Amino acid sequence: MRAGALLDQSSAAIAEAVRSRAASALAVAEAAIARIAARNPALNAFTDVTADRALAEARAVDAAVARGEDPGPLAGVPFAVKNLFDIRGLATRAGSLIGRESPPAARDAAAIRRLRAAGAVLLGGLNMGEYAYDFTGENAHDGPTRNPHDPSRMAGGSSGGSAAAVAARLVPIALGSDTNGSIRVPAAFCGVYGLKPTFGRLTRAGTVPFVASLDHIGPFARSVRDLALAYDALQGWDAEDPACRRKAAEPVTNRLSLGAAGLRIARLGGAFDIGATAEVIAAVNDCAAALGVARSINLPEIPRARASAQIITAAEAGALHLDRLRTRALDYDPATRDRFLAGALVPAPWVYAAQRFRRWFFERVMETFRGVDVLVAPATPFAAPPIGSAGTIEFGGRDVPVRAAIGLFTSPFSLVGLPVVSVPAGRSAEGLPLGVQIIAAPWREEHALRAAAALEAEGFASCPAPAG
Amino acid sequence: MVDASSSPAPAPVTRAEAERLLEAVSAALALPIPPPCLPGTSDALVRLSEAAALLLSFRLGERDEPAPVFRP
Repeated sequence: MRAGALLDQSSAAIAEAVRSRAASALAVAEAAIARIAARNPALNAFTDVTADRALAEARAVDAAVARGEDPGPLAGVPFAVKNLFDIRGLATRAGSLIGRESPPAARDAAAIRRLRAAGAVLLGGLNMGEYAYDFTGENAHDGPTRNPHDPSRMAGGSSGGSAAAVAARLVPIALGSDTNGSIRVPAAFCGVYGLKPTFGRLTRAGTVPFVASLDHIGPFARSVRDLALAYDALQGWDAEDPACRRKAAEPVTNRLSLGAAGLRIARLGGAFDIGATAEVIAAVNDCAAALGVARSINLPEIPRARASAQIITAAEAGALHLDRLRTRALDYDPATRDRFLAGALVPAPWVYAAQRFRRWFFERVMETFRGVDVLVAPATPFAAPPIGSAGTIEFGGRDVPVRAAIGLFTSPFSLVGLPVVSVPAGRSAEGLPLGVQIIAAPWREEHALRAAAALEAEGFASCPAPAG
Repeated sequence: MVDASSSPAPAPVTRAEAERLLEAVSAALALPIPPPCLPGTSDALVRLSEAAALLLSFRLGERDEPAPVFRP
């Protein structure tokens, strides 16, 4: 198979071709560089293409194969990262004007080093909403990432470039970060799989923080197996991330074939049915039916869970940026700066109330997981809106800004650190992709990934190829 | 000890109250708010106060711990 055609295949297929010498890692990297050059101008997913480095890394993979060594399960697989991950030799933008003035990173983020150790080849940095305070994928400094399924639509954010690059077949794997939904939202809008693992599972060392008590990193891919391969390569404790829990790796790739067998699964109703379009509800119902779900359950106090995430996010982010805001506020993206400024002014009792509620909500969620292993819920209330959408929509009897409404179904789960797979399932009336969240108890990524694999195997979840 | 359930939870701040909060706290933090950012920052504070009012009206016992726990 030609290297260019391999880019349309899975990571597993690329790695097998490279390890068996059916294709060289160099040819795959060259094909990826050519494809990025051809397709990225219309998408604006990549902000930095590390072509020379990719070619050198690919040659090293081929040399290892020639010596009879195994370069790893991701041998020669191209990948790229949201540009808040440090890339050795590049200034880390984090989607900001200010970030690109910083000195070049001295070394790669830990997650990049781990994927490299598994044989993957870094192709570059990806566009994102400024400092990750975003659900749209728009960026005043670098321009918006465009949705590969309709370039007039948002890619979703804040990891918009990551989802778009995978959906458009520029790379089979990308990394992003998720604080309130920034992996799951763009995965849903662009029609790919995204995994937000348990809080503390994957190391964030070498990434620009947004909200330390809520930040996660995770992979995007076009198949559940690729998602699991990347996740397995990323696992393991790291002393350089204080939130990373000292847990042994728990590989899941070889357990995907178990599917949903034995899992107790319920559909989330109540607040997760309010505000969603009919097509979103239908996608959730179809996935629930495919998984044999017979019951719908409610979680308590979802509006307060959203409020808790909103307050903690604003306050931590505002405090983190306080020094920069004092002197550089007007260098921020107008879409983020006023929220950062307001966050810096939040009274402490608001934050304390949010953190106390967060504990209460976590305990109620854990009570739910005594009787169930997996929950199914929509990822977003609607498909990707047009780029530049403003104004408000009616949501549960309240007027909510469109841009905030995008994340209302994702923030309650990141608030309590649950592992979630966003699976591409269903289509909007306009033919745009939709996403469904598959949610598991803390440290049970395997349950969410197995349920996602069952949906994929039965044809209820798949990554639609963009037209053209 | 004051009974925590006896005091009414505050309502969300009005736009005028948000502007006064902004003025007072930004001065205390030596955080000048550039004029183009004043309306948007006040709006964001009003929205945050709506979220805070939801949380402050949710009664928890004094022994209910906050979420982050420092593990030395």
